[in-house]
Amino acid sequence: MKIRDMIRLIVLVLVVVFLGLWAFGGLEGVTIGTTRFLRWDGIFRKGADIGSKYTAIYTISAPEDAGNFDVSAATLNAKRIFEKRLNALGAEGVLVRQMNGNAIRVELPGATGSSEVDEFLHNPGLFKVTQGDDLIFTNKDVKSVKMVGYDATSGQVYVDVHLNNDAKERLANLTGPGTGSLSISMDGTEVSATYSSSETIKNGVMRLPFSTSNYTKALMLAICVDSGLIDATITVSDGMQTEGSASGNAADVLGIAALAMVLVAVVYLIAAHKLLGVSAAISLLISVIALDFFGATFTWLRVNACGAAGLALSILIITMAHIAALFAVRQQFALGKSLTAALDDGMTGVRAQLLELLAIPAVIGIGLWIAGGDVSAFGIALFGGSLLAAASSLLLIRHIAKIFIGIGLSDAAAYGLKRGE
Amino acid sequence: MKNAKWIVLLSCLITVALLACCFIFPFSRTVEAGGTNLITVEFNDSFDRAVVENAMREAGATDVLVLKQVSRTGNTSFEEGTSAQIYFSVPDGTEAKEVYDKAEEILSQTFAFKYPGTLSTLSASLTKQSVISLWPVLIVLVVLLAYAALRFGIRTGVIAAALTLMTGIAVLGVTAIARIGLSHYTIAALLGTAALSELFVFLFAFTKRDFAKRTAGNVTEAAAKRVTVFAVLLSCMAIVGLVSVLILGNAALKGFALTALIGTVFSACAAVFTLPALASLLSKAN
Repeated sequence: MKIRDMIRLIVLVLVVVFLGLWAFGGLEGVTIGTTRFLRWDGIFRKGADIGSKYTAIYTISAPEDAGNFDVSAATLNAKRIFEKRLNALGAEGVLVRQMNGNAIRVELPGATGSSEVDEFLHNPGLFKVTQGDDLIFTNKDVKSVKMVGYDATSGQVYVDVHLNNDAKERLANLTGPGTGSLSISMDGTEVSATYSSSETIKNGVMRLPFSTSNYTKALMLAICVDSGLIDATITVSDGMQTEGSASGNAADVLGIAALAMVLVAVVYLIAAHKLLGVSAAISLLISVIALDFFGATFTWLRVNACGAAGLALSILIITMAHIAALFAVRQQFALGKSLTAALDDGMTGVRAQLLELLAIPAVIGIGLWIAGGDVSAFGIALFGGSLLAAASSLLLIRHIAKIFIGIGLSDAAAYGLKRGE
Repeated sequence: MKNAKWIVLLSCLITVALLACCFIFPFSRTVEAGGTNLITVEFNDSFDRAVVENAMREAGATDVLVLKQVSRTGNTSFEEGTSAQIYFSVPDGTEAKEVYDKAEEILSQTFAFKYPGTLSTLSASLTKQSVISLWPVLIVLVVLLAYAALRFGIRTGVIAAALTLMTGIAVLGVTAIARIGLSHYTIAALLGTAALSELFVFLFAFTKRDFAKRTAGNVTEAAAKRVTVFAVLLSCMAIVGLVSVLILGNAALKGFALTALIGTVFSACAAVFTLPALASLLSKAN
C-alpha cells in the first residue's frame, strides 16, 4: 500500500511538472516524437486587444443631398450591420466599436486576412433589380438573402433572394413563359448578368446563378444585402492600416500575472494548512494547468481583455473553492473525527454548499457567453473556471491527501489540524 | 460588532464623495469614448509608432491611436508606408490644434515631414458603445442581487447591492480622479471587481448559513471573520497579479490594471469592514 502510494505520488508530481512545463513554455522548441512544443501563448486564440491586430476605421457621413441626416443613428445602424456581416463571414475575435458619433473602429486579431473582410464592410449593400430602365425591386422588397451553395449538376453557385409578400406578386407577373430577363446589381455594379425563369415563380424566391469564379461576388451579395442597407456614405480611413506590435508583450505579462497570483495562493496554502495545504496546492496547480488547456482548446474562447479578466477571476474562484474545502475538513477534525474521516466527511459536507456557490458564476458565465456580446469571453472563462473549481476542490484534494496518508504521513498535526478549533 | 454604524457611515461618506467626484472631475477622454481629433501625417521615411504616440502624450493628448498605413504585398506580408493617421483626444478646454502643434515640434526633432497634415475634429458626442457593452453585465448583476435576496433573505440582497454599488462607484470615482480614460479595458476591470464583491457576499451568506446550522453563537461575526480570510487572500492574489501587469504591461494594459487594482482594493475593504458592519446593523434592526 505504502509503495503503491509512493509510486502514485511520484507519478503525480512528474505529470504535474511535465504539464506545467508544457503549459507555461518550459518545453518551447523541444521535440518529442513528432510533437514540437510551441511558445506558451502560441496555443491561445488571442483577441485583437491582446495579440497583434489589424485596425480599420470607417467614417460614416451623410449621402449627397441627404438633407436632415442623423449621422449618429446611421453610425449605430452601420455598426450593427457590420457585426451581422462579420458574424455571417465567421470572422472570429473581431472588435467592432463605435468611435464618437460618426466612426466605427474594426479590429481584427492577427495581421492578415483583412482586406477580404474590408470588401464586405465598406459596401452599403444597395440592391436593385431592374428590367430595362424600370426599377423592379430594391432592398425594401427583400425579406432575406441566403447563400445556397454550389450545385454539382449545373456547376454553378446559387443565391436565394426571398422577397416579402408585397413583392411576391410582382415577381410572379415578371416570370413565366415569354417574360423578359431581370438585371441584378449591388451598389451600382451588375453582379449577375440576367435573371429569368420560364416558370412562374409564386413563392417569392429568386434563385440567382453565379459561375464558380464569381463565388466571392455571390457571397458578398448574400451577406451584404441580407444584413441590411447602410444608407450613408462609408469612407474607410485610407485603406487598411495596422497598429503594429503595441500589445506584443501583453500575453507574456498576463501569464506572469497569473503565475504570481498562483504563487501567492500556494504560499498561503502551505503556510496556513501545512500538508493539507500541499494537497490543495497540487490540486490548485493542476486546476490552473487545466484552465490553461481550457483557454487554449475551448473553441469559443478567445482571450481578449475581458477573457483575461475572466481567467483571472477563475483562478480566484478555484482558490476560494480549495480553501472552503480545507476549512470544511478542519471543521470535521475539530469535532473529533479521525484524519481520514474528517477528509471524507468534510468533503461530503461541503459538496452541496460548494456546488451551489460555484453554480452561480457558472450560470452567469453561460448567460454572458450567450448574451454578453463584447464581454462574452469573460462569461466563457468564468464558466470553465467554475467547473474546474468544483471538480478539483471536491475530488482532487481528497485523493492527493489520501496519497500522503497512504505513504505514512498520518500525523494530524502535519496537516495543520487541531481538535476543538 | 463594535463601531458598526460608524463604519457604515464612513463607507457611505466615501461612496458619496467618490460619486461626487464622478461629476466634479470629468472622465478623461479616450479615442474610444470621447471627442476625437484626427490628423493624417506623411513622413519622409518610415517612422516608429510608439515615438509618435509618446510625442502626442507629451504634448498633452489624453489618449492616442496611431495607425500606420500598410499595403499588402502577399497573402501574409505587408509593406509599411510612411503615412500615419493619428487619432487623439485632448482634455476639456484644450485646443486640439495646440496639442498637435506642440507634438509636431517634438516630432520634427526626430522625423522629417513630407506633409504635416490638416486637423479635423470628429463628432465629440460620448459614445453609447460603452453603455451598450454594459447592459448584459448590468442585467447579470441585478439577477444576482435578486437571487441573493430570494435565496438568503432581503438583508443579504441589500448587502450585496450595497457592496456592488460601493465598488462600482469607487472604481468610477477613482478612475475620474486619476484621469484614467473610459474604454473597454475599464469596463472589463469594473466587471471583474463587481463580480468579486458579489462573490464575497455570497461566500458570507453561505458561511453564515452553514454556521447557523451548527452553532448557537454570533454567526454573523463568525461568518464575517471567515470571509475576511478569503477577502484578504484573494485580494492579495489579485493585487500581486495586477501590480505585475502595472509594472510590465503596455499603456492599454496599465489602464486596465490600475482600474482593476482600485476595484480590488475597494472590494476587499468593503468585504472586510463594510460587510460585517452592515450585516451586524441589519441583524440588530431585525
